[in-house]
Amino acid sequence: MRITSPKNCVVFIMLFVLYLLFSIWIYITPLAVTTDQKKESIELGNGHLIYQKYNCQACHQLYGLGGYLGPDLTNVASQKGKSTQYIKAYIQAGSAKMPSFDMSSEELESIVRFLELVDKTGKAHPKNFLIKNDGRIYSK
Amino acid sequence: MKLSHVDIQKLFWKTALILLIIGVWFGVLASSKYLNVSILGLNLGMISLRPLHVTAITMWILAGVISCVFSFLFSATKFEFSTLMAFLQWVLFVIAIGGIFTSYFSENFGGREYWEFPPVWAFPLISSWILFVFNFYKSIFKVDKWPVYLWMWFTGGLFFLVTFMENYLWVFPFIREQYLVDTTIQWKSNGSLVGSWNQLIYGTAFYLMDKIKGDSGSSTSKSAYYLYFLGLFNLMFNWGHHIYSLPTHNIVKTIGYLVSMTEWVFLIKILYNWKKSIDIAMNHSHYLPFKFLMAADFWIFINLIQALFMSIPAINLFTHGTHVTVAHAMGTTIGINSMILLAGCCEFISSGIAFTKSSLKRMSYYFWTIQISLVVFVLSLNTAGIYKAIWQYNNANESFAELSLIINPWIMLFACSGTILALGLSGLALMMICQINSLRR
Repeated sequence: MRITSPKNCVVFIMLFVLYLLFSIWIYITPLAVTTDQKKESIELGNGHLIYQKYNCQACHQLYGLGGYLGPDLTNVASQKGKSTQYIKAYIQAGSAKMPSFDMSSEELESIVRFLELVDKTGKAHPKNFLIKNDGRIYSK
Repeated sequence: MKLSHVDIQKLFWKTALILLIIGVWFGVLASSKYLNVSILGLNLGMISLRPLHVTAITMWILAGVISCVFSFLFSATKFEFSTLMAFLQWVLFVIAIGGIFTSYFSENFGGREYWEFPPVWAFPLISSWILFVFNFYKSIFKVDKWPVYLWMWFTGGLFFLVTFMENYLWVFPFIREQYLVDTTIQWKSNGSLVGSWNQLIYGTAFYLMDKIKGDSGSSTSKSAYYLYFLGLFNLMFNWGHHIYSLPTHNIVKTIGYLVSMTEWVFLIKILYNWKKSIDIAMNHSHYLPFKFLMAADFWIFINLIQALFMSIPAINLFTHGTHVTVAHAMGTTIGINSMILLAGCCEFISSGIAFTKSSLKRMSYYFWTIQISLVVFVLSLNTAGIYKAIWQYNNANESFAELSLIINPWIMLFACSGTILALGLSGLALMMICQINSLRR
């Protein structure tokens, strides 16, 4: 291998190292988890697998990320009139636009718990943010 | 049977174009789901159609960039790739696609957004990419001074590998159990992954412009390298705008915001070069690959303006999660990426045979069908997105069905223009497949 444009190589390597450091900093954040949070974290991880298994993301969003056919589910668990029982019944019965899902009772419990825990992570609705003059936004 | 380099190039181009045709028609079927869910029955619902469409189009882009690199590698480096390795790569690629499509049809999911297939199919896909990277790095590492497009191909190859693997960090419970970190990583990797194939595609555009102009000035100039490094910087750090509403570290969002604002430099550069571009366009308007590159230039301009505004958190707060985001994604995928890849395909074909007058006329017809329908397509999605943004701000607790009724006319327009767009793209792709079949090299 020959060295091509040494100056460009140095810039590339510097940027790449910066990128790696930034990535590692993001990855290692979960180390700061308390024992109390551990149980909920496991439930969240397991529930997410069920969410993926039934490909809920094809139609629904979490924090605005996902499909567009159905509503955003980030805060569905705390939405007025949407109890845990309502969510379970909706998943099992389906609607005009949503198929019914034949989930086991464990899966159903797990996915509803997942939605409850996602809801606890924050509020995604625009009304929950403050807009600063420089264009940045902050959660209220 | 011994495969020649041209056989491999033809194999990849045909695979890419077939994926484009399949992808656009899955898109048409998926869009019909917004209007009438009973068209195909719920057996093949949105749950399968969306990933089928997204995967086919993603694979079109991947197969397209691989075809471009293999087609122009010798001319760019004077060193050929290994045909055996390339064939093995193709076999793995096809195995991955077969496995992914089968799992979607049988509703066997388990993956994340854009890669919804069971993670096992990521193995043949990434193995195929490793073979590709190894195969073409062998050639470019023998070159002394790299023009900017070799830097871009090198970067794209490397970063696709890194970000695709990063995308699968969720398989480790340690990551998956921390929802906010997991989601941050997901959008970090997805954002950079798109940037990685953009590097491969824009590298091809640089190569083609050099070829058309007949000199290597634009790909070895200082400004080309400055813009390349700015692009690389954006690939690495400009993904924060995907997660402004996510309650993750503020520093991640601030970096994303600041880095995305450096894209104004690209816009200023486009405006600065406007007059020159028009002069070049006048001289090369008859040349088919150039026509596609000019279309890509137009869509870069439109999408860059949209991206700049969408990167401002105060605007992103309202547009995020609406059809405005889809309009931007589709505008870039079809208007920029596909146009450059089709330019590459035209260049590949025209270096083997001369287009007849009648085929040029038909291609021109398809070209304008695509451009006009894409304008309507993007406008209808943006309008539906604006309606959704207003509705969701004012009606947090209302039924989602109410929104569907409000945006229905725009979704109808989106579906109709999408069907015309699919006709144009698949007609053009079919013509190109026929031309590739008739290549006698």
